[in-house]
Amino acid sequence: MKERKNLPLAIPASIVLNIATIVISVLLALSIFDLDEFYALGDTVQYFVGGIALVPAVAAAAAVILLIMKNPNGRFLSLALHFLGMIAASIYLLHIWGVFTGFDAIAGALYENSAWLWGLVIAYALYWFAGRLDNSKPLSSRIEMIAVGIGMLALIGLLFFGGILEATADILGKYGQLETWVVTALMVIFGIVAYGILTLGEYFGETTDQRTAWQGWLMLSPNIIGFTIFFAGPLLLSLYLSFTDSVGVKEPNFIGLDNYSQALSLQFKTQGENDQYAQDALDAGYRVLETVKVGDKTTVIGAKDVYFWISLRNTFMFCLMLIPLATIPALLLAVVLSSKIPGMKIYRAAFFLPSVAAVVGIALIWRIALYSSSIGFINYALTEFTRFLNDTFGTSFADTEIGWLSDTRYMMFSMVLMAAWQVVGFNMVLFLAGIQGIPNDLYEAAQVDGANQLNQFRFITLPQLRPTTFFVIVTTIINGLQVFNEPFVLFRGAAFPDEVRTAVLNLYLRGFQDILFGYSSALAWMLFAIIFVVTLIQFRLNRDKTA
Amino acid sequence: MQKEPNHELKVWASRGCIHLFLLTFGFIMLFPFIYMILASLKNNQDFASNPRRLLPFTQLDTDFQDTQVPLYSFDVNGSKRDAVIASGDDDRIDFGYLTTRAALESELKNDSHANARRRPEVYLALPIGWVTSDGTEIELDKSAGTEIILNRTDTKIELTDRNNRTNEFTTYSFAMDGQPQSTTLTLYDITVPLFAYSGGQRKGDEWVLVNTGREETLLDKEGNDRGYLVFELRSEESVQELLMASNSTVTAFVDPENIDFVVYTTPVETVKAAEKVEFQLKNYDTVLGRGEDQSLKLDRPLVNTILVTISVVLGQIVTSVFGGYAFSRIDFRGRDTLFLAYLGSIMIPFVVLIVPMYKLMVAIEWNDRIVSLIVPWIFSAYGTFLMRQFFVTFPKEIEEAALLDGCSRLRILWRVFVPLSTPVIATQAIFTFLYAWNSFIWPLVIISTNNKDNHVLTLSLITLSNIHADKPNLVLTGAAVMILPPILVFILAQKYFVEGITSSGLKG
Repeated sequence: MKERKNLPLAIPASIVLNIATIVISVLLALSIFDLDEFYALGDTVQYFVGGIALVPAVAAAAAVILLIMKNPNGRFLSLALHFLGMIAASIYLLHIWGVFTGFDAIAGALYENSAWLWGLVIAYALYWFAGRLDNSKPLSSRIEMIAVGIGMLALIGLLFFGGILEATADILGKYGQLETWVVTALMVIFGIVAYGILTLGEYFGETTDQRTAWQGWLMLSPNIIGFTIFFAGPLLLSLYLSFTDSVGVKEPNFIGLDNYSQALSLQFKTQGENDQYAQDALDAGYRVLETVKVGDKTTVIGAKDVYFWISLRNTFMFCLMLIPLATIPALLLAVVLSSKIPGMKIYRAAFFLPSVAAVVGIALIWRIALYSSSIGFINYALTEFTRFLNDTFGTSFADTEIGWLSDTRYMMFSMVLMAAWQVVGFNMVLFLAGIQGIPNDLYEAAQVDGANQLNQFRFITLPQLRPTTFFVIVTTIINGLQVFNEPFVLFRGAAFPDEVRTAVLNLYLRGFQDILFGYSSALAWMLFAIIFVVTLIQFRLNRDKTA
Repeated sequence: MQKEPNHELKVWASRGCIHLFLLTFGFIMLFPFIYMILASLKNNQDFASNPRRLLPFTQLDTDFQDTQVPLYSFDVNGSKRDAVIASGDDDRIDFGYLTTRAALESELKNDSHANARRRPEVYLALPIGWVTSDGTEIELDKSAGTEIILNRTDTKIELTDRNNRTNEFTTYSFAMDGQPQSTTLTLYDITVPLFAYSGGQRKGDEWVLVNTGREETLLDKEGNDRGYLVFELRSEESVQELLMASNSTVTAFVDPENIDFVVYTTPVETVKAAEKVEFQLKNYDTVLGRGEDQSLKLDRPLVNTILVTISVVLGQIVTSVFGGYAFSRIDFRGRDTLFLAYLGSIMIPFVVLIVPMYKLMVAIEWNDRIVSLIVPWIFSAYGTFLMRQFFVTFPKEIEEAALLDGCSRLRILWRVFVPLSTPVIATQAIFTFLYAWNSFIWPLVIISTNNKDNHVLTLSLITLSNIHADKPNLVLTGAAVMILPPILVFILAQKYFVEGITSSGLKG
């Protein structure tokens, strides 16, 4: 490899830009440290974010030194910094342009000019139709051209009448401010220098591995950036908030494990003779969760946060009832459908249909069609059935109008029934796949041995389906632990009854009704811990199976 | 060989049983959807019908005396007749409910206000006042000694009560003060009297009811005096004293084409409306904001939902394809650790992120904005994982040859991998579509209730169900607008659903 005599321009440019990066990031960090109020997140988060803003400064300083030393790592570091600088500048530029908040206006424009959208739909339909025709025929290509024409026309109409000109003028108007020019220039410079550095592979003696590496990171960059901002960052923040007393827009204080102990605190006391009410037996700050009577001794269980325990109990109850209702019919249907009967695909589609519909819509339908005590079909069927019994056998069963959604005894069951109905088709497809994976010779051997269908199911299908069954149950549990939409929509009213307050509903109400953000975060982490344990069990058992 | 037909029969029987089972279950699975679609085409009044029915019925109207009035349906003498409510004051009859003294007394003990209408002890219900067509009024209740004569006729009429029980009733012809009235009377139901016209004939048993003009006083529960008119019911064998517990009015129904045909009935709720099946497509117009009721429209939320869903689907596919390619085809240090972290992130439920994400959105002023429903959701660990699993199966030679030819990675990805991956891309697109279209908790948290312009369908549907709680047809129309697009997508792209679940689900 021949070494070049003169220094490529990109290297001094990169050094200058890195120095600029140091300046910018220090200024940014200082301005963050200087803020009086950091979005009601507290000093800790403020210093943390400010500290992160300093990281590019350190990295850029290292990059300068390495570049001067002609170290290939200097190139990579600069490359990453310039690339991220370009991304940051372009995101900020989009922000200045108002593109993000402009989505509202885009939706508005689409709404006002929705007639043009039909042009796009027609164009697509035509294009699809042309594709179905014989490609070699001139007719097909002509239709294709017409379709493209219509599509373009509709798009232009949509853009024009949707206000593309105003939007452009608006963006250009932003160039009346210096800030816009600076950010645009930064974006361009970062981009050019990054490219310049990128082309210096030969100069730095780049190996194939190194080349592959930066290509890989580049391709992953959208995901990594997105995940840092919208996943890792919030995750850390959530953990931090769970240790604070964050309420509404108040500055949070670090309170250690208080949120967790508040939720988990339980107290067992015997109700003495002086205690008129169960509440009297408990210490201050505790409320009665349950009273247990054994003989003449009454034990009072108190909790600091009664709702937490109630929601936990409700969630477990939900999962416990959901598992059999959501898996046994699914397994049964899968076994029946797998026997290659005609119309199998239609049945499968019909059973699967509920899983594609939104829970919100489903719950509204069930609330009216089935659970309504006056016009619902379940009560109607029960009424007709009791009348049929009474008329035919002369019995006198009372026709009780069951309040599926108003009687506290039935609320949980109503919820479970609907959830099971919705998920059973999904589970059935999983079971079907599992059954298809069972080797056929097992059944053939069984038939030779004279095993009947029932025995084949018991001794071949069931054991062979164990991993699938296990997977289905675990998925059901994990989804069941996070149940929210069902109680929210079914029991929406003035206040949610205690009987349907599930863990996520409790968390939501705590967080966004009582605006106890810190406490709500702690609840979320405890729920996650439970889910984590379930997942861990699954992994462990799965590994045992494969090992 | 002889057993063959028997065996065949057995196979057919078992197959029939299986199909019956599957059909029953299929009906259970589809019933809410069938109900949703049919109920979304119903009238608001069509929900409490008895027996319950799924098809949308509309009450028929007819032109009667230059106005549009609802039409009702009656079974008279076994044939079906349609009639409208007669409009004049003349067409109403006051009648009294007569009961025995003992029954009334026991009633008063339990109830401070004796409402004899509801009680089975009511013995007889008869007209007590009669307005003739020329406007002269014959008062019954005040003049003592007025006689009402009831004669049993041979005509029987069949009537259906509000519990949908059909019974045959004997009719009586009816004379007052010796003047035969052109009305036949039916002791329809003791609690629900109904009078039907059929130009009476004297025949059979004769009952005479006499208003004695006396008033008897009974004590009610609170110890107040209450006066009741005393009537005597005389038949050939006996005389019985009855008290008039209460009185009310029956309404006359006439055949609009033939005014001579009159049906008297009370209460009006027991009358069956004349109906026909009619699909109220205007419900969709109302819900989509093209009707008169502009209180809640789903058209803007529909556009928002479409925009959000398409953006999220496109964005997620792009980032997932890039990510999946990098994770599967490009070997670099740290890749596998990163991938493990990525996989781990799938495990973390969204509820853990909901508070900090809300805080983040508030900090960057994205709360209440549509962008908050799009940008945070275009990065998907699950989608990346799905793509990676698919790309991993490709042979290494594809790339090596292309790279030697000097193709760039982007070009390989776009020219080779993307075209070969349409099934998995379609699968991901469909699942993302469902996820974005159906998402609820995040829009609920981030878009405020008042900002209706930025609502998505799930949110608007909740508002709709609150505002129109008394209009189930509109609520279900809204639900149909929300649910039908995913169902349509499912029907068109069924195989990708099944593939998606079976390929990705079991590996996780």
